[in-house]
Amino acid sequence: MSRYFIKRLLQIIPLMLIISIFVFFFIHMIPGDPAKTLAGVEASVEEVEAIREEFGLNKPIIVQYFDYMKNLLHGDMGRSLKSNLPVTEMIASRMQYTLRLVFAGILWAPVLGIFIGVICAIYRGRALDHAGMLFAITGLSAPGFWLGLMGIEIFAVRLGWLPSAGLDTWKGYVLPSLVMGTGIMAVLARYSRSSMLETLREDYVRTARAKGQKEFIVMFSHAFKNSLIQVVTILGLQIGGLLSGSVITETIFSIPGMGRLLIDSIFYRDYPVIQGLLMIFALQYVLINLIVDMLYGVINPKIRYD
Amino acid sequence: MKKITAILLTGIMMFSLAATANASSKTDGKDMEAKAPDNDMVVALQADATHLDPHVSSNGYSNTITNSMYETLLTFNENSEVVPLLAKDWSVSDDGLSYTFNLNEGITFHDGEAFNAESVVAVYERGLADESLTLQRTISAWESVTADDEYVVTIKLKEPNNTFINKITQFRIVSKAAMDQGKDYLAKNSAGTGPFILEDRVDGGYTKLVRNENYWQDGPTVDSLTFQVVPEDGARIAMLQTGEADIIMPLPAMDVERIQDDPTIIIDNNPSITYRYVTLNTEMELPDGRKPFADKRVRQALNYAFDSEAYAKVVFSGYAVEPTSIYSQNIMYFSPQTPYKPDIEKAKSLMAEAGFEDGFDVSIIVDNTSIEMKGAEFVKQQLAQINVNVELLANESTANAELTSAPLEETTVQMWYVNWGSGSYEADGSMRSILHGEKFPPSGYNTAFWNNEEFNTLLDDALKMTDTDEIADAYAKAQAIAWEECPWIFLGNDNALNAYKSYVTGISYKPAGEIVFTTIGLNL
Repeated sequence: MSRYFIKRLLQIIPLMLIISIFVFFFIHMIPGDPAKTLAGVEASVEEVEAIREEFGLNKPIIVQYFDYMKNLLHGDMGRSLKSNLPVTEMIASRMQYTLRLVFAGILWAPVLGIFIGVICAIYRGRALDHAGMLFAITGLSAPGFWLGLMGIEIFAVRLGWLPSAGLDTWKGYVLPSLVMGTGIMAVLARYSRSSMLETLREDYVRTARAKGQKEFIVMFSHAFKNSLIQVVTILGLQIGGLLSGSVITETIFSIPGMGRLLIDSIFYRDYPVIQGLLMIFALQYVLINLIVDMLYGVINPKIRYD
Repeated sequence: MKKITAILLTGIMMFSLAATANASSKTDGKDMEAKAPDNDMVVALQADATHLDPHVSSNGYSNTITNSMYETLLTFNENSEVVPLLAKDWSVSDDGLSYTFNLNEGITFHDGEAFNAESVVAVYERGLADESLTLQRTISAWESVTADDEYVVTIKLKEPNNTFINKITQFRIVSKAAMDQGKDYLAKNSAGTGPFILEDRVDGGYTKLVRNENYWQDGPTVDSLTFQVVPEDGARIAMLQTGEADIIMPLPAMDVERIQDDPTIIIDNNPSITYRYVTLNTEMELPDGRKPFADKRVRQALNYAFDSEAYAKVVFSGYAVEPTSIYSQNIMYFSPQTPYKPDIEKAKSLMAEAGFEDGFDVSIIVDNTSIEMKGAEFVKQQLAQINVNVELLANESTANAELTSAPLEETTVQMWYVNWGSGSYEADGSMRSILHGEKFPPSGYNTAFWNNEEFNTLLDDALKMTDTDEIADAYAKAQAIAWEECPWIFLGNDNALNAYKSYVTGISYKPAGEIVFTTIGLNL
């Protein structure tokens, strides 16, 4: 297993290299000139040219790429064209907010989602199943911005229980956590239900029942544990998505996370920041996938890594 | 040398009779006895500053924040008069080339350095040394800056320039010691003479300033002033309702109704400097080779087909004013023109005279935000009345900036739905870059490719004039020409809407309702 793990880690290097090429050239292909955007509309041609010169934007793109990679290998992601701050510093500052949000979202959502899914599967076709799925579909269909704004209107403006912006106190986490978690909860409820139903049809479940095992043990020790493989895959993908920042949650609750940084940077064509963010997002996905693959083995020891 | 005091200069500001830029905020029926929960002020802004170095920043929000930390020799007051700030008074030589400023004494920068004539020279030298700074725009017409005495400084111009006095209000004075440490230092530390000092900042999150205890004149009473970035309109309003924010900027027009009856909220409503128009590319060719916008009658027909009153109502919920010249009434030397009242029959007959009774197809470039799209849709509907079929080409603004800076030979821009406002309230800055014949892209934004010799000459001559009556006369003529020639469809002038809690005290304004925080306080 450890050999497999190291092999997978080493594979990340060429993968990231390929991603860097795509990221770099694609973002330079988007129309729009960072120097002009930064200088503002009242700027003279000379002023724009001076900004271009200052950031090396007038060099051939290949040269810019190699400059970028050279610095990257030294751990330097460059500086933001907009704020002149080091990109690593900016991403680190934003990442803590995104991580806090992700944590707030996954604190309850997977547990509740899986619980609903399993209950629905056990009581398949009965009233509890319908109620659970109705709840899940509602959660899945409620747009995040709507949920967020309604939450603010009710709990902040009308009732005055919670703040409408920021993560300064624990109260500030409640609404963002609700918006972040609802989608995950709903998706996991759906997946864990179908995954559980599938496992319940397996031979070993029938065998367990035939052996006279208690229904509770059949459900949780035999069926539930095995149904988790699919659920973990989905959960991994969901968390990977959350880690790249939730633009909607961050915008509604005025949280300076990575999603908003990406949007702002795209607006200003702040190339070093966009590059840095996309590389980090890619790396996060790759690592999460690796962790998920490793978890398979923990959940089902029959899975072999070759 | 003739001494000019601030009072005399008031006379110089030849504004229209209509243009009294006094900020209007209705306080009837409001709860003026309301108390603030603490002495920390929070201002919710739609977007963040790009940079806190006042010589780098370029967007309006950067200025909103940096203006509380940095000051200028002169400034504008809410009546659009230029008044002294760091300078005590100033005088101008008879040839209009040399401006001498007597500076206030005993002022120190946030970093403890003393403010004097050398500080002014140092800022000028910084501008000379680094072309990428926005400071360039201010000093490009200057010949030299000399310290005549510890507290007397003279700025000499290359040639007379009537915008000098406007531009000097953007010349932010920074401590030399801080400037020597560069942009990175100034991104994280303030080193001005202003009423607030930078304490903490999270890029994209908030910028917290604290009161400058050594401020040289009557200053704020709040302990701190935090500018928080709240991009979502609904959330900004909610923060004001709950009291988490004390001031919100801006208040979207469509949300005024939601909060106008709240007794603890006061709404500021002032005509802004944002002037909206659609450029008509006079060189645009139809597939059959005809150039509709080359014909003045077609351009006028479009203006007669456009109902700017309805535009203000539909797009800005009534919080916009009809255009009565080619720039905002809050800008210097504004001269009102006779509006093009909607008259479809007249528009149709002008189109017929020009040989375009069947209309034509044309595309319009617009930014893809909802308010801009709504406006462009409105233009499309209006022009359909005279058979002009408009296709909307919506792009993100950064991509549009690239399209609209293409030179004449390469341009694809037929019409451009856009707005303009001169941050220093100057007439030249409100016209030159967008209408002067030498300002075709990429050196300017004259995407109408309109080149009127008489107009160009008036602008060029006025710039060098020193007699204010003559300047006013030249700019009035220039406005009349452009108004009659219609290189644009004149759309409107939106209002600046801000809202604040009734316990906020000491708000003062620049022209066009721009809030100044110098004496800001909270009723505790």
